[in-house]
Amino acid sequence: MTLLQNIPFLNTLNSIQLLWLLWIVTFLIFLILSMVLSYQWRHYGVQNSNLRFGEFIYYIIAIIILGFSALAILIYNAHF
Amino acid sequence: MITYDKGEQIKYIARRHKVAFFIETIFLIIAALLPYLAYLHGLNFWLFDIFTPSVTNIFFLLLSLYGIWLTLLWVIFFIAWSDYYLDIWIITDGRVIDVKQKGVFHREINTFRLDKITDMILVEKNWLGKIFNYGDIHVTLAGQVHKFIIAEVPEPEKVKEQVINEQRASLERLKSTVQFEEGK
Repeated sequence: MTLLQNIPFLNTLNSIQLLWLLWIVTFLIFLILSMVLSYQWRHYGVQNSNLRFGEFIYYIIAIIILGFSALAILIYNAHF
Repeated sequence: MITYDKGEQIKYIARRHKVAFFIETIFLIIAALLPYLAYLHGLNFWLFDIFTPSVTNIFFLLLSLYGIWLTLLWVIFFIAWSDYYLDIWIITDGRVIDVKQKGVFHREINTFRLDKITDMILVEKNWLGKIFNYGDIHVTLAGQVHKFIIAEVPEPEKVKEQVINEQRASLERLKSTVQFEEGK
């Protein structure tokens, strides 16, 4: 943990807490940007089935990746 | 939202060529593969400095970090895709609507009448443009120094032809309206 020793707050966290913090920050970035993108698509995009399908694929893949990542953290936690 | 005049017809919608978008996103594919290549070459020593993995859980640590990395890349990819999809040129029977999407929040809509166009120049920037048949169209308007650019549009000659045809039809309509009013 030598790299984080000089950073306040982060130096108090253990590996699991650090991973969850990273995951939550990523999830929040995903959530905020997705809301903005969804608004753009619905408001400005020419509404058609391709666009709705694209949006659906975007959310499904993002949720799968985030889900697997959370699962990997849980397993990492179990082995910690 | 773009609002159209009553009876206005959309004649053509131009977007950047898919190849140009693909080239823009190549770095994302490389970025997605980089951690895997680093892992293969044993470049994960710094992780031991930040986290404290044991031999049994290093795989799950890497997997969780890779998932977080992929999520961020996926979001960036969709920002680039939105930029590509929402950045359009709409040619109607009376005007050209230039919609510029820059990043997530910035959006610009410029409109100009077809009869204001004085010059159109085709520019093929690179060899990829020649192979896949895409290029820029520079549009000069009467009384304006600033040029409008339809960037990396597929089949630029066809688009130019379409604009010229619509401009001609628009001028004809304008001419007949003037003649009709003079006849009154």
